[in-house]
Amino acid sequence: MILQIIVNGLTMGCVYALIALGYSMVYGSLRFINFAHGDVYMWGACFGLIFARMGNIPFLAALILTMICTGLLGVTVEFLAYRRLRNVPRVVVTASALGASIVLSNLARVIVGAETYSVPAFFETKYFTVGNLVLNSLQFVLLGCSIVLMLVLNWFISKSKYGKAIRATSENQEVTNLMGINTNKIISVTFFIGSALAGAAGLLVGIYYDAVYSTMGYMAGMKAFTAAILGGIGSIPGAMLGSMILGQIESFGTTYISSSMGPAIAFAVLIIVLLVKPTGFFGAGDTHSNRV
Amino acid sequence: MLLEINHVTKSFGGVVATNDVSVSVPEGKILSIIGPNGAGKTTLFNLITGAYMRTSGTITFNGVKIDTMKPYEIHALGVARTFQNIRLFKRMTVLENVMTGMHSRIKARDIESFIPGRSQKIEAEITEKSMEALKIVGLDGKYAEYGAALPYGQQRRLEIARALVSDPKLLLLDEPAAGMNINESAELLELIRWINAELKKTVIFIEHNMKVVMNVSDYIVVLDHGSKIAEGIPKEIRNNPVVIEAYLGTKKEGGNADA
Amino acid sequence: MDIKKILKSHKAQFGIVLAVAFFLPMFVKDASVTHIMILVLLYVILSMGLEIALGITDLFSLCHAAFYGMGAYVSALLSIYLGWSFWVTLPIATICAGLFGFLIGLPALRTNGDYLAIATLGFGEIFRLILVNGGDFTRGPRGLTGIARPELFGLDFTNKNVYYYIILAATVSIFLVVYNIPRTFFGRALMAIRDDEAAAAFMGIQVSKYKVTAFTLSGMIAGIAGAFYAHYICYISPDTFVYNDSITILTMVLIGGGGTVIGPVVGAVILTILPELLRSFVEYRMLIYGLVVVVMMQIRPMGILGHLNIRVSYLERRLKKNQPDSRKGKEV
Repeated sequence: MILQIIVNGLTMGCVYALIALGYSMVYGSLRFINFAHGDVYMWGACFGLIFARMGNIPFLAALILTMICTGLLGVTVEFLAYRRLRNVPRVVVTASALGASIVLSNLARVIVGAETYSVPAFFETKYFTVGNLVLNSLQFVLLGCSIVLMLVLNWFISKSKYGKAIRATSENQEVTNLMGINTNKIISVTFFIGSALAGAAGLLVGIYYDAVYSTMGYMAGMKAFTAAILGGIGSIPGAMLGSMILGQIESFGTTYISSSMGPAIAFAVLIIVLLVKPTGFFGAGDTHSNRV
Repeated sequence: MLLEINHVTKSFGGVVATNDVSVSVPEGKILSIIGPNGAGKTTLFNLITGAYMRTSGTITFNGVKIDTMKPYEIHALGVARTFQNIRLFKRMTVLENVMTGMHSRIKARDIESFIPGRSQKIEAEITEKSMEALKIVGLDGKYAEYGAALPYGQQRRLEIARALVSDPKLLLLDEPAAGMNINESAELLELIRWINAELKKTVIFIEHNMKVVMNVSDYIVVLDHGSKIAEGIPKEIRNNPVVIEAYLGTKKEGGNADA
Repeated sequence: MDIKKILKSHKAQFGIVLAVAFFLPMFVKDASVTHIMILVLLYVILSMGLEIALGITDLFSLCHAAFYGMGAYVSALLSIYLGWSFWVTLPIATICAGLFGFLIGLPALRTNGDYLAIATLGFGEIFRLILVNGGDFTRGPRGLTGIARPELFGLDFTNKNVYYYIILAATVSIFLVVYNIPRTFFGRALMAIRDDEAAAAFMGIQVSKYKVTAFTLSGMIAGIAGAFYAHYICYISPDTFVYNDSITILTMVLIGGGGTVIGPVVGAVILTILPELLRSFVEYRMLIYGLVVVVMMQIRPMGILGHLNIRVSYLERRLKKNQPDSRKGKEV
């Protein structure tokens, strides 16, 4: 029983991690909450649905295509809704993000539809029983894809030229600008990567739960954001760790406390973290002097 | 003594920003704090005004121990300050900025703001006092402009008005002449003297311009690397070899006018 | 020229708007238009509440709909279970929503900006989940039905026009209170916190106290709107008080111009009427709404009226009154 709960928590933790990374990376470079990020995740599920319906696209190709599409979507949103708002109060950027979120979710309503859709299977689902632990092949795919993507991201951030520039930009944008790095370009790359990962998460969750709907971005987005804060926003390992912890808390919470109050547990965790340690485990983000 | 800083040390993590500093400020004097960049001058202001809490030592103001108090409590006792990097309320007018500085002196309770008639009476009083403060710094003609729209020198004066309006016993000015031209800083000097002589305010100020410091100060404290390396009347400081080495020496090469 | 000057004074503008609001129902025969007008007033009240927290103090609140819901539910529950009159439940609902605001204001002492936005969002979501899981007491997702209309001096409150005038009276009073806030020392403390929290503390302002007070007031005003809403529609469910509504109110304040008090009123009027005008495009309604928000933030980041230096004329008036004895001090 306990093992089953842990595995379920791990699965959801991986999904949250893929989304949380985008929040964290964007927060690192632009210092605002990209409220439209949850909807990019939802679009990942929609693209997945579209490719699955075509019927002849193999899973891996659909995953990559989805990531490219949502990546471009993220870049477009940044270009249209945030780029001009670099030097205005953050409230304004956040409002623009909220608007973008409304646009994206309603665009899905118009294009894909307002109902909950089931996703045609890319492959046959097999079930494995280990002791009294039941696993299925979807879980393996989800875990495997998430872990591979996170490893690739880690390599990219620490080794590649762009990764280094992304880290530099999140440390200090002005200095980075002075050093001749085109910050706008780096921010676009950041958005592309973050959105592509969220898109992958959307596709995987769409298949896993066999359900795609236009409002699925809100709750997942909020939970992933909680995870990002839990780990310390702006920190990539923090986002991963925070997600894993949140996945477990939620998994245990829904089993032992109340299933319908599951989301409330996540939010309660969020509020406690914000009150006790707003910077999270790894974060060096906003700290607030309580002397004032 | 109006203000007594007694063996105060402040460290951030492992970095000691203020190291065992003791300063006594008698009432009615002008004291200046000098020292090279990073000497811990602003840190000392932040310790006095409650932005930081000292790691060890005591600070007493007018007989009250203030070293664990919050900024608003210290302000209410009569310590007002200005900032090195001007911190005006950007979306408020010049007059409103000054009116905000009165906050500690308002005896009315917040709820009285919502009582018609009573509120107007309180506000009329605040407006009058604030305009007086604006007149002192010569900005009464600009009351309706946004503070942030003023030229640099006037923004500094506005900060002084905002600090003065609360009728503080002690006025802390953090580099009040920074970024001003010769005329402006001469005028400012005059203003500080006047505030000290006529309004009987005790003034502590941080300043880089040696001419200003030597002219206006009754007493000078020299900080370097967080420690007090010298103190005395201007004449003593001018001839103190330690000070010359740590601070004035480097300046002298730039030109004698400063020293 | 003189007419222009008169039109520029706030009193004149206020008088004109009030006159229009007062006489409009007499020319409206369509009950659905009156309904929209009542909604406009409710949203004006809500945006006034958020203006205190967001516009004047810069406290990013994403749970304004929860305050609204708190007011609505408290009033409705008291009315249904205890049969109390609306005029008793209204103040109780206001106080409860204020207490809720106070509670939510506490994290504001530890967190700032975006973090606060998320914390309030969490509170809002928890509030909704409590309503949904409230069992027989809140009747869960099905909501509360059969809430009584108010009664007063035999006036017929089932008549939409009568209800409209009562809400109009409430709206005008609340507007006047909020309009006055930036013109008092209390309001200046809030604005100082908005502009520079640390500097405000050095000016003697007890930042924590004022932040919590701002949230409390904000909650109270939303609670009033909630009570009026519950006894107007006579049916409430958790769906009415969710995240989306908080976003709607937030965008009203920001699009109108936070911090100006008048701006949020304009924002509330525009953004309540806009979706109604788009009713025939049901499918595209929210899409257009979102686009309007994004585009407005690009072309007018400070809001439609955000650039106005709106407090100049009152300062001038006040100085004229003070003139004779303010000519002291030293010229430098």
